[in-house]
Amino acid sequence: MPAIWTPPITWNPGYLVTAGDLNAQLRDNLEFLKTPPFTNFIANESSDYTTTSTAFVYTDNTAGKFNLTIVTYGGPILVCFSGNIIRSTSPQRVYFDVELDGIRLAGDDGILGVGDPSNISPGTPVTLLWWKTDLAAGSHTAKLIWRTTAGTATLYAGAGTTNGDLHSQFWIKELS
Amino acid sequence: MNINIELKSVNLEALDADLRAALGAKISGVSYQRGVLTLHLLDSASEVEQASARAIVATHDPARLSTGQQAQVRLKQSRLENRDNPLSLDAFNSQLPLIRALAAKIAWLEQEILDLRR
Repeated sequence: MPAIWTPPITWNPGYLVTAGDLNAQLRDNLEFLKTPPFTNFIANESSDYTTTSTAFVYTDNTAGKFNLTIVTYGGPILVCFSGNIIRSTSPQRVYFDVELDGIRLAGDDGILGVGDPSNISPGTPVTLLWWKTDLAAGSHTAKLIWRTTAGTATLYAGAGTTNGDLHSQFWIKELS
Repeated sequence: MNINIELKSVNLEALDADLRAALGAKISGVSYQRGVLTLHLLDSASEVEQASARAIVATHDPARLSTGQQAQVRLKQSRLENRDNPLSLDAFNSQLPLIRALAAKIAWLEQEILDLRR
């Protein structure tokens, strides 16, 4: 069961501290700070991800994959992705962005792009980090989106591909 | 709009080329994962265009190469043939020294390129 955050009390003289206060203010809040909200997907799929789309599309819109939901307590979140991509033609550019609650975090050409990733497995490593502040407490859904400018872009997904059996990861963590 | 279609195997580039030829800018591409093909159509794609896209997928043959893939195959074959048929400098023995020097440079470049491709 995930830890619960309770806003700290302002203690006043004469106040009788109860077991409930201590459990909520010390035990639960310390547990929360030690284990803030976190959600994670490590790809171990039956096939790699591929796209020819020249417009941003979901990498995998299946909930729990590159589509993660986190319940936050009002703090900033860190959105991360790492994986290896491979191209099929040249010149070919591959771009990544993240859609948070239906709105792209970076917009334009996204958070990062790779010009002519390798066409030899294991391809080119890609790491994406995005620090998102001013986020209201509650449920938030982040989806990894990508596009290519030509040919087919492939994201390895631990599918047993020779020299490309690589497990990409997508995760979100609230940081307090 | 996305249309998901179950498909056992796909030649993504060839299918993409066929769809773009038929639908033009109404399609941004296709994606494939876990046996499911996703057609990424623009919201403005009509029902006729959606049906056309489905029909192209239904008749898709993964073994048929796109024009670009055929060109890649030809280029690969050409490279293999040339690899085993390097430039012979003997054919330039009767030429002027400048031509022989140029041929030697080309032969050297050919070997360097072959070495890079190994």
